[in-house]
Amino acid sequence: MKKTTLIILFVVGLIASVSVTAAESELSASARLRKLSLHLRGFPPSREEFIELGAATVVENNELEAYWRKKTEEYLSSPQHIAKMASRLDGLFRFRLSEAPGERYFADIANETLLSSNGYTLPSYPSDGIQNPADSLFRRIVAKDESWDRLLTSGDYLVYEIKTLGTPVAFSPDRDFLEALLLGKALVSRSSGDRWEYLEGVNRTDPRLAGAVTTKRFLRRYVNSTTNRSRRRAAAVFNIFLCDEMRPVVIPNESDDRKALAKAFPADSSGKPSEHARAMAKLGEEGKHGRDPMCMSCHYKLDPMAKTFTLVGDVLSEELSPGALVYKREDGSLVNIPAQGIGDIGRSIVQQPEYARCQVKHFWNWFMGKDVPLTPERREELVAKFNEVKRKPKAFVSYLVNQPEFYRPSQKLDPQVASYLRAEPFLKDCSECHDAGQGPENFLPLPIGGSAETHRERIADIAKALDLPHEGKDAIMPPSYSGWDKSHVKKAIFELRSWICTGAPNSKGKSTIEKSDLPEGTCVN
Amino acid sequence: VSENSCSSAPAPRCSFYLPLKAEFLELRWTKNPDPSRVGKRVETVIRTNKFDTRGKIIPGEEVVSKNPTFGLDRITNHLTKYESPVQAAGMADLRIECDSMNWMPEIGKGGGFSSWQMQQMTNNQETGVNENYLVTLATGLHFVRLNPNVVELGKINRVLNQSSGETNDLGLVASESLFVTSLDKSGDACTATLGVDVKPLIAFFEKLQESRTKDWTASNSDDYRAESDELLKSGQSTIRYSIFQGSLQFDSAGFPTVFVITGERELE
Repeated sequence: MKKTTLIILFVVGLIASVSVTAAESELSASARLRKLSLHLRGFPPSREEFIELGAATVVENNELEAYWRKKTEEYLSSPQHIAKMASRLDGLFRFRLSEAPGERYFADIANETLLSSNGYTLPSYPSDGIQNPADSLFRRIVAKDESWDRLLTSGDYLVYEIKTLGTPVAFSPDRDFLEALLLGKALVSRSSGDRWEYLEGVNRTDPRLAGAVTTKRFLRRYVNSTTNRSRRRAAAVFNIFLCDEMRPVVIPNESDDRKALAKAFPADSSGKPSEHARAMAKLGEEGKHGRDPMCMSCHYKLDPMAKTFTLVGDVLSEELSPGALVYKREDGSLVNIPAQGIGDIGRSIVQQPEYARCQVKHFWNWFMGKDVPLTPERREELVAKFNEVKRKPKAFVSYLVNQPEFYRPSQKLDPQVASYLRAEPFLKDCSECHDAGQGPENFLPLPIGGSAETHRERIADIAKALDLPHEGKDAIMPPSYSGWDKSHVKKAIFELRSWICTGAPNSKGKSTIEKSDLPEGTCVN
Repeated sequence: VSENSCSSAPAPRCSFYLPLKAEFLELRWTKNPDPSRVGKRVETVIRTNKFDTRGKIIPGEEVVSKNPTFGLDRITNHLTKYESPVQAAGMADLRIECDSMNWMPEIGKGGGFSSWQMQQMTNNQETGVNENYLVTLATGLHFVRLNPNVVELGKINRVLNQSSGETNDLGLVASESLFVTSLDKSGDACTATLGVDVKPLIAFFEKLQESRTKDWTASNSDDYRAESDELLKSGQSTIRYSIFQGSLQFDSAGFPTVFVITGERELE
């Protein structure tokens, strides 16, 4: 016991000496190991690993580099990394966390317990969350280092079955969901185990299949109703794969309010059901909602995609429901790609530059942190690497965790650039409505309006609309029905004020306005 | 009909004609060592386990009707023919009659509904929140036009038995909010919401249920002087009742096990 204690003290001493000699902004070796383990596996390294690190740090620097490569590879190959990434994807898809009990927290679970014969599923755990094709797909992509695009383009599904005396007696709900495609031979059963069956798409470009999106889990998470008409599903696809977050807008309407009140407190207690049903049907004024410019700022892109979900109920249909991938790029150009089904939409999305940028942003948020600014230039570098490694997650994560931002997190960005990066998402959010006829124009890219003059005017307008001289006390933007919650509004006012008051710098950190362009008192306090 | 993207025609008022057949079993003594029991409902004692000293007395037919082989306690609707054609033999199909069929011009003229869904409040397992959710009841529905304003269901590619709760027996008219999808000639999908007044039907089922329990008062058995125990003493007793002639069997602990038909169906 005493001997062990002495060894640990010795190791700590070694590590401390390393951290002193390293660059001030760089993590110490032990902190880097801890960060690597936490980010890749979800739990800290073992005592033995710290001892191993101690031995590595006393050798030559190139040996230490080899040590980091080896550790990264070791962690990336661990079943716990698969579970950690699966839980990240659960978060990205806003699913309930479905990892097996303990798999994330204990390093000593034997691999064979976690991995089945096909190497990427966890059939030994009874958790219903894991026994579904969405989670299996997540794990397969990570374990087999398949292209990240398969999240949206895979046509293969693993379904679970319960057998009695070797005969299947029950299937997971997804088997029922995919039944139409099995009957129509669009899917075939390629292999099966004790508790699972692997269904493979016959046609890799089947327009009805879109990876994790056409699984019961996704469709149950983003339920369809007579009023949302698959728009919620379309909005989720935009959010997850193109980082285009949309907020539901409820336009105030006195007539609607009266109807809602009448519905909640019916005047006639005896009630006439048929009239009640008619009133319910009219409530909401679907037609008006579809025409309002503020609504159309999202619906012009939501509705064409939602159409491809029309026949995707809680079972897949034999028939196709055509639609389109429609959205505006940052430069204002319109993307409009017709699709026979949601599968076509998926294949079109992965071809878009916005998709690659969005996925890189997810990885950045997971491994560097949401609070670490990602400049457009750095983002494009990472997108190039993401494409270079054929969008394989292991290869890309391995690259990321060996980047300076990972092990040198305290390095400072130019404050002007950082200010722009913090304001940029809010300018984008504002543009969602203003670009749809609700205001002057798109707030991005800078300069707003295309010239220095319009830019200065618009910045002054923003300062007035947000009531920056009074820290947003009498702000008229965003309107109360914009769908922004209070904390988002508060943060927007804070970040936009900071940005404007530092000269509204562009992505290179160069100021674009003078303080004299702003309403009096904007930057006081 | 509302929120109809299939046609800009004015929303019509439609009626559904929903064929239903309700079959309920009622057991009454026709012969009993205790003459006062003749004509009364047969009773069965249910105990949660064999060590219970008290049991709940329930109508005897509740045990019998739970046997799926007999399905004596059942409602047959127009969808039953896709699962049990014999049970639904001779049953008419769902008919829709509207002021005008312009709301869905293709229906009955070779076109139909690609999917037929109902909306119900369901707990979202991923979020834990109760939400309105469209549940698919059937896909590939083809209707036959009987006259300009009346169509009748002719064929369904796939029926999904997913309805539940109080509207379980209403076939395709299982919710006050239905959602139908149709493909037009160019293959574009269009949708319509059908607001259905199902309250009279639900009230009808409630009345039916009430009538079955009109002379029954729930009670507990303290001393096992219930009739199932009397039946148990004789091992297997024959009972006669209004529709079937058969016998109840009990296991050694007094639990009803199977119902065996020993006679023919009586056309009473």
